[in-house]
Amino acid sequence: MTPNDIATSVSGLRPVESGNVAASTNFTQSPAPFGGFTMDDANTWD
Amino acid sequence: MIFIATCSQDTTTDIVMKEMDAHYLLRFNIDKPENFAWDFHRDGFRIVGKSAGREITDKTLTSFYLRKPIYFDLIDVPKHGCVENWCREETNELFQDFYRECQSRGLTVLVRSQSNRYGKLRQLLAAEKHFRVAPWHFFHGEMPDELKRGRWVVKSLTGTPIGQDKVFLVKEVDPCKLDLSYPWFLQEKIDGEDEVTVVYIDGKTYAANAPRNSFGGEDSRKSLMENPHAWPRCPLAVKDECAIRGFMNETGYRFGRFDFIRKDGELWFLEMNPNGQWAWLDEKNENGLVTLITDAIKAEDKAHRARPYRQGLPPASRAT
Repeated sequence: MTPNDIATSVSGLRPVESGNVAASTNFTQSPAPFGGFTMDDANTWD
Repeated sequence: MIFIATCSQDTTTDIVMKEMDAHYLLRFNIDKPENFAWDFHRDGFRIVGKSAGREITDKTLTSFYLRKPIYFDLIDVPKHGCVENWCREETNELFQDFYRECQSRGLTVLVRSQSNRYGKLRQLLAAEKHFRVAPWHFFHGEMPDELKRGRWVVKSLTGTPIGQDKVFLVKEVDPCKLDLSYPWFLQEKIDGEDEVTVVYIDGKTYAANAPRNSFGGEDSRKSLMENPHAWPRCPLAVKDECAIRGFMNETGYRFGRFDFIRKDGELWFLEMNPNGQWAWLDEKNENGLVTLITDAIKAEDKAHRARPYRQGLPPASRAT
């Protein structure tokens, strides 16, 4: 069983709880969205 | 042992490790979860580095060294998410919370967390001191023995979209059927009479409840999405108020919404959302919840007026 097998379809429904603000980060961006991405720019986890 | 949180591309960590006794280190490459197994639970944790043939536990960890736990290989994440991104976010959130927990125990070296945020791992660890809490596991790669017995529900840490218009709601599963190559969060199922939600507003509480059979048992959020409705207000026992205050004092939060299941008169902790929604409980302010919230905002704002934002600037800046 995978997470896809377990997740529930909520098509057309508005979530009552959107969860923590931090969880709605745009995940299509890397932590440091620069062309020349370097390890030095990647300061993660506060 | 020193736990080093980084990624497989971090050559600096290669250099550091050469100067140290390798047997004393466990390097965790967040971008290579297939090389690791982990299990975090109420009594401790165990993280296994399969390629190194080494493990670290709550009894052996002495330091947490944060290096670069990032994903260099970016993935295209569709508009409604995908499983791969969900896995990354769940793993990232778990180990970030673990980092903050180690920080709170004084175990981080060199690079220190500036945040005291309580994610689900830290919340459950704190909650054990104040409430009844059902057993829980955050695991990957290996099946914890405890999950081979009893009834368990699966949850998620982050609420990250998983794709195909799906979300992760609480659902009962057979742990033995789970694909262990994914990161899982399971908690023992609590068969209670009702769900109780408590909004904590700077020392005051507002509790409301819904009988569990009114929404089919496992996750009230789907029922609320389909048919938003207020939950009736309910009283809280003095001991429950004290427990809630104790939890909030320990974690340092001044606002939040607790979710509990009430079983045989006792509250069992599920989670506390520090920015949880509350308006659906008393939208028309018939029970005074909106007033409680706005009074608290006004009181804090009154205290802030003595030192507004600009006041904090040095004198030369204020002149312009």
